[in-house]
Amino acid sequence: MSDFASNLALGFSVAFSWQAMWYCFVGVTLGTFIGVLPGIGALAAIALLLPLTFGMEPAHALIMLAGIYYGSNYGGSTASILLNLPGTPSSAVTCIEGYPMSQQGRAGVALFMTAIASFIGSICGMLIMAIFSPPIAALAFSFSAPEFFSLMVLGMVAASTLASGSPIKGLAMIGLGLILGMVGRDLYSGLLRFSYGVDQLYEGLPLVAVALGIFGLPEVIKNAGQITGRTVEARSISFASMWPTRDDWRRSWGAMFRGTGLGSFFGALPGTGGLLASFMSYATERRVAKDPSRFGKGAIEGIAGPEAANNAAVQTAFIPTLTLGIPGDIVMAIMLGALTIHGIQPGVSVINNHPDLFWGLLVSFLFGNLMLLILNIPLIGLWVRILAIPYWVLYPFIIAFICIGVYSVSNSVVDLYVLMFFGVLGILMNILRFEPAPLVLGLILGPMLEENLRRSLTLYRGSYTVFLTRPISALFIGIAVLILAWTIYGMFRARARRRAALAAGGE
Amino acid sequence: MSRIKAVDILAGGFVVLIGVLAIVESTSFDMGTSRRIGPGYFPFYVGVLMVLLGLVIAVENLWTRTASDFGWSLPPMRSPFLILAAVAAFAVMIERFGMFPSIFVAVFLGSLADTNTSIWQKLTISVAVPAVCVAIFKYGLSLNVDVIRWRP
Repeated sequence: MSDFASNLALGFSVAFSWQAMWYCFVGVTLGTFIGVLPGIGALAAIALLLPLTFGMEPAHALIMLAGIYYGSNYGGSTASILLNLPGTPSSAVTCIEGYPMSQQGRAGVALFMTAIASFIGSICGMLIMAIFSPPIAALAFSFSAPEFFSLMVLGMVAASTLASGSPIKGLAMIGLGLILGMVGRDLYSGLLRFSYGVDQLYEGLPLVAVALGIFGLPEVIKNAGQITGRTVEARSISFASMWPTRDDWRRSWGAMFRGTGLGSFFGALPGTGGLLASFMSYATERRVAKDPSRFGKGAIEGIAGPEAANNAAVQTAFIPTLTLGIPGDIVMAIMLGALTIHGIQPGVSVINNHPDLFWGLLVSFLFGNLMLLILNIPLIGLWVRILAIPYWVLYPFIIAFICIGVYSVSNSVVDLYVLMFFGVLGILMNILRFEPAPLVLGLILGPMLEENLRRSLTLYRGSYTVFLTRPISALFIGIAVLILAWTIYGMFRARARRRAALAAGGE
Repeated sequence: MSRIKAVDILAGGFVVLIGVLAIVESTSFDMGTSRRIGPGYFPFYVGVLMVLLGLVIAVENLWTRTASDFGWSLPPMRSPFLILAAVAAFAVMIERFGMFPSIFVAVFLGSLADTNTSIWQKLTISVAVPAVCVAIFKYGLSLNVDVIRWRP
């Protein structure tokens, strides 16, 4: 317990400085801004702003980048509620109940409740992170190469099969990511692999260019000329109109805590994140509701649960990221990249070797979420006005920021060609219906996976059975196999159901 | 329905192709042994895995089609082309002419992707964006890039 107190004290000493508070504020404000605007996600925003953090202290950089991420989750629901357009993927589910509430003139209540639910989800997620991270990190100390290899395999399997879209396609994108992760100099032989004559790629593919090419450009391409003529009625949302009724409160409490539980679980599971958590929470609320017919017509628990869930997931996603070096979700994968750029080797060492960074970040979540509460309740009118910016004004700025952002990482034109290449790949993946998220996960985990495979095989004389004879490693592989088996079972069941439907149709 | 199959077969073919590329690339490196794996080992096995996954994708839809998969068609090509052209223009121009001209051209090309705005709106935004970028990146964040230069 005294450990815990001293850790928190350390965290406060880092986060409670003017500089740290400033970066936290900048992060959450930018995050809300980006979250409010449909058509640019937190991932693209973080990749975009990563170069700006190069001159900062690692703790400050991480505090700011994390602020963008959880800030965008607060902001994401605003566009969902007012325009029926999700600002971030994980707030898509908020449209279902939020927009009807808005049409009934209850937008203020919906906005207020999402802010409260987000806050409660975040704070609980943060507490879970504070309590569970040290024991997980301690356990991870006994991990050796085979455990890390197996855990990464589990993370990849979970990420590709539990996410949206076809699980097999997800696995294929992990594979493509692994191959792309091999681009550049092989650590052991010093040979250049997959560089196809482009010597500038010896350090590997530039992460910012890849992420913006695959997430940023396709988003702009898809939305340019498409998001038009959206009108937000400039009705002022007064504080009085925001206050929920007693009935609203009564319905929301349980939803928030169930959402927080689901969110914390899926957030901490490597590879899955807020999107899945928010959908699960919505489904749960529908199931436990006494009167499910209210859903789809503005049931407040249908926004309180999912919003608490996705915010809790954002916080707990930091647990595997910072204690094991395995990203909790796709944004965390970029965050790991950011750590590496700042010279901090991700892995079990982060919480132990850089306790200031870990606990400072944790405490900054508290400040950041308090700031977000102020930004999203009294100042909500400001964000509503930002929604009125037309997309034709916005997207040229996004194009320019993407170009400058990529170029400024290392003043390299080659990075811009990498950006274009991945833009084309991103478009192609859209057409062929591949999800881009597993690719980035594979890209970041690839080098670590190969390294741990090499070490495991060298340590255990070339025997693959080591992954099954070491108990913790076997556990991870076992869970991965179960998830795969469950997925395949689901595919067969879908097939059987379709056949039954066809038979019933008399075809 | 035939279109759907076409998409999944293309997707599967794409994955197989990447797998084959990985296998081909891996053959130019030492495989090593499983005790001491060489630089060709990991790419080779990931390549093999990709080929297998690609084959599964190509046939998968035959037994897991869902209603949401229908209605696929090739998206319009105007916006991808113009926005990639914008990035290309920036890449070609940034080291020759500096930040303002390259962003001006990039934004103008990009703005053509939206067919609902007038030419004056497009020109206004093409001047406004580089001006804001210069203010933010050159003067706000002191990025080491010339505003205007002449090295064609």
